[in-house]
Amino acid sequence: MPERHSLDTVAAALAEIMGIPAPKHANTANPELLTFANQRFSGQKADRIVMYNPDAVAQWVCGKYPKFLKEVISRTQLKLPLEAPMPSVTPVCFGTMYTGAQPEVHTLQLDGEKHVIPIDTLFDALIRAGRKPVLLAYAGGSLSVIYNGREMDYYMYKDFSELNAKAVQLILEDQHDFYVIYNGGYDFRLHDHGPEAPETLGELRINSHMFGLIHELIRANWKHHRTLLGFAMDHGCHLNMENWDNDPHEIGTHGLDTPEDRHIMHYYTTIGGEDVQ
Amino acid sequence: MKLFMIRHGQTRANVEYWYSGQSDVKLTEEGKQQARDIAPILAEIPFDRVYTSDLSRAMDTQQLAMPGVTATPLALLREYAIGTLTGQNIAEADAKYGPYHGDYTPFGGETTQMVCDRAREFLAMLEADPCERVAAFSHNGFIKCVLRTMVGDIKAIGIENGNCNIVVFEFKNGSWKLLCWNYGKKL
Repeated sequence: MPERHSLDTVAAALAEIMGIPAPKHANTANPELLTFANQRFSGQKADRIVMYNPDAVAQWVCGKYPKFLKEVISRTQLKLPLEAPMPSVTPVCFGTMYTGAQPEVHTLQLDGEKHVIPIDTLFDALIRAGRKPVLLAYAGGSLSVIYNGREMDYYMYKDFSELNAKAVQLILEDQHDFYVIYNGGYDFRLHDHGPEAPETLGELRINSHMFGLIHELIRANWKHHRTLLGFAMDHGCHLNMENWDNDPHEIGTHGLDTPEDRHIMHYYTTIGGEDVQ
Repeated sequence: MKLFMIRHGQTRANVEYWYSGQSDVKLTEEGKQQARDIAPILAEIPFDRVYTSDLSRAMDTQQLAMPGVTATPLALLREYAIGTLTGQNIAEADAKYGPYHGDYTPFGGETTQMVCDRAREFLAMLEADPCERVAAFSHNGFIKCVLRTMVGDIKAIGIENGNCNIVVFEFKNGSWKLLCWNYGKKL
């Protein structure tokens, strides 16, 4: 098992894998992710990255319910343990994921805090390098706010199935270099039902099948590209037994400095490489 | 060869959220308008063949979306048969009997494998009669099984395929692939 690094090592790794300079405040690139991509692409750079972003899928959930992640586990070769920053909440963690910086640097430090990140981000680095990123997010959610204001494409939906339909369409159209596809259904169900409820695990299954579908569409349509595809969540979760009777909307939750909430596992694969000219 | 698969317009079952399966539920007024709305898109495409599921919601959609064009009705293009679940409220039935995992045989219906077999039979029929453009009016579950025959055993459960959505597949060099999920639509 690779060493557990901070989630802040992902942004610089993604930049280097695409052959562009890292965001200005990003911490050191994740060595395991770099080695993986370098080996799989025989030293060449990726020209496509697709980051499928579920929300709150903890490493302990992945380990306990592998059958609900069948399409993810069977299609990926790198299982990358990471530690989410504190507090382990969505805007803070996605802020770190795509800046490579800790919360005190990217300035999102509280649960529910949503403002545009003022520092350099991976999206800014991609745009400077002439690449075309696109972000698909839940309308009104963290990711629909914190990376706004850049010269890139944004698609926001109140319905994940519509978001996924657009993601499929964009992959088929192949007009972008870097795709962020947010699917927060697991987190949505987690808060009302808990991390292991049938409703919540059902969302995990949807995440897994969507990842599998995206993988298959890339394999069929992007043969001429070198693509890194990641199943990359922001933080973990736990069952909130103490609050069981108090707040029906916090039966499952996250935000604590515990392994359940901070330990996550990213899954990565590559498509294309040997045959790409 | 390009295959344009069109899901039928809105029905009472879609609005009232019950399982329609292979029952002959009719289009709502909105469903009829949805079909008329895609007529200009389909009018631009010179189809060589036009097929439709023989269930009335698909046939009526076809006639409104392609006025004056006669389609060949095919039972192959029908929605999942779901047996005694037909007519039941989806949420109540799911809570009582679910999860089905694509197997409706306990209710006298089909499995996903059976519907995928029908999808393969339909695609084989098209391959044996090569032409450039085919339109086929059908149902959400069947269209997703057509996709499933091309992407392996993956459920397209997280992706919206709305009423009168047009999905395009292409047959080229001996294999099928998805070409477009929302043809003609600005999402």
